[in-house]
Amino acid sequence: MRRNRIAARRLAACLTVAAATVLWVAPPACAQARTPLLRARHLAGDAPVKVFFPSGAITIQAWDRDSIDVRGTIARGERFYLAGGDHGVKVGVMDHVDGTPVRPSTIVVRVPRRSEVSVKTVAASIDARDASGWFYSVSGPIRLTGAASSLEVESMAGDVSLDVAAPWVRARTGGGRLAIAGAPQDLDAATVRGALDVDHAAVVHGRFASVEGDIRFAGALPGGGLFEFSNHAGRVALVLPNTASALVDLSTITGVIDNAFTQIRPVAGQGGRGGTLHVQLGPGAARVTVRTFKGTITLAKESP
Amino acid sequence: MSHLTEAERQGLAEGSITADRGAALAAHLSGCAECAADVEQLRSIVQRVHDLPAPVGALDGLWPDIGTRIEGAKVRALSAHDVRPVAGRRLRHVAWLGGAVAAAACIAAGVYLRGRPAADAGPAPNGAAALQPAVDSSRTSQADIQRLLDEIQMEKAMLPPATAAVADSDLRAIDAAIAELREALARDPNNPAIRQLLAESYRQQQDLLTRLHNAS
Repeated sequence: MRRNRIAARRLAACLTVAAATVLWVAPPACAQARTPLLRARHLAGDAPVKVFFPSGAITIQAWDRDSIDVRGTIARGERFYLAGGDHGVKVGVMDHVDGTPVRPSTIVVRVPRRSEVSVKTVAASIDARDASGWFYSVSGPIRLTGAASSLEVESMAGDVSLDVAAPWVRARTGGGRLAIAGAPQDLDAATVRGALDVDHAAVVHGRFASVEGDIRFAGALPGGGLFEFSNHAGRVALVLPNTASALVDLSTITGVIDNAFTQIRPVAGQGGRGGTLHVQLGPGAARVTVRTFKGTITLAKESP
Repeated sequence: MSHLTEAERQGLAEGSITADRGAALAAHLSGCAECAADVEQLRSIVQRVHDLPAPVGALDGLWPDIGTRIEGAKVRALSAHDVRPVAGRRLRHVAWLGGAVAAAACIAAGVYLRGRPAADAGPAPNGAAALQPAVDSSRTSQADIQRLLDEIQMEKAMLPPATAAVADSDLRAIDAAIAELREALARDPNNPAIRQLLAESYRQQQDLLTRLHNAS
């Protein structure tokens, strides 16, 4: 009897240890679905980096090293690649040839500061800091920050958020919202139906356009600055500081001009529809032109 | 034994594969009856398509205004230098989108992609005049337009349905804007603001088609 009890205790102890071992070794279900990733290689300081990352989230960071480093987790079953040489690499997750959706992965890519990156995603979000180059997403959000030499950002339907210092920026989205801050000196920004918001960005030359989205520009206009706004059916709102210095030229074909900045009233257009307004604010150091077809144009003072 | 990919079969059939690659693929065909039969079938289809007369009538039926405008905008016949071989079509396509050819294609695509009835597409005389600045730099052939439109249609079909729907909405919005501006310009042909807005709308259309191309 006693021998049986001892055997039973031993068996129970063994089972307990085995169960504990299984629980310790087996990762949780979410971890099972992803494979950890760490790849790195030497890369020339100005080498191009081409990225295709269909789904999930990708972060691009520029660093002061002559190498590329990729970390993250790749969805189980998806194929990661890092190919090329010292003078250019391609990195990303392979698309499926049969068109089935690629499962979401997450990676952080560090590239040399002078690299020209080319990033394309389908639904994956792009978050880049201090990186220069071309960023494209079909529907994922794009967020760029830091300093860059030039940026070209395009999305079919995703939101685009820029808070960058760069000499040249071109940004496009369709139905997504385009938000701009920072110091994009020479800026060409457009949406089709999404809102376009410029919030105290240090723009010197700016071209802003939409078809149906509202455009809102708030902030100062630098001396010698050139600004052109164009909208078909959406509103254009200029919210300028009390000290603004600009020659402002507003015209709408069938829309309304609402001038809350000065006492000057717009001149009505043909048949009483639409109108124009030419007004000088301060010494008139910058030049602003706004055109809409039927969207309302608002000129307002920024609240102190 | 692994079979040839669809792209390889198509490439062999239309003769757009390089000689080196073609030789390797031909070696596969000699030992694979299935691939050989498929390639032969594709070749016969390609040959039949090539033998067909150019679809001038059908094209005019689809886009009467486009045809008129394009014909009117032609100032020179295409030289042999302009007619490039089928190979390298993808590279050429990128150049189109970047260049002035795309501007005219955008006008056509805007009409075509939304399936506007042909009766609505007739240009008002003033509207055609208004389009002139946008097409001045777009001397091109109807065949080029057709090819670009085919590719854009194909690329749109390859997009996820939700994204294709977004692209359609955007294209419709731009097309509606262009239609309104053309009407306004017909009433007030000397209004520079309308002309500039119209030019901006065409630019938006070109940008959108470029993004659509990049999406596929």
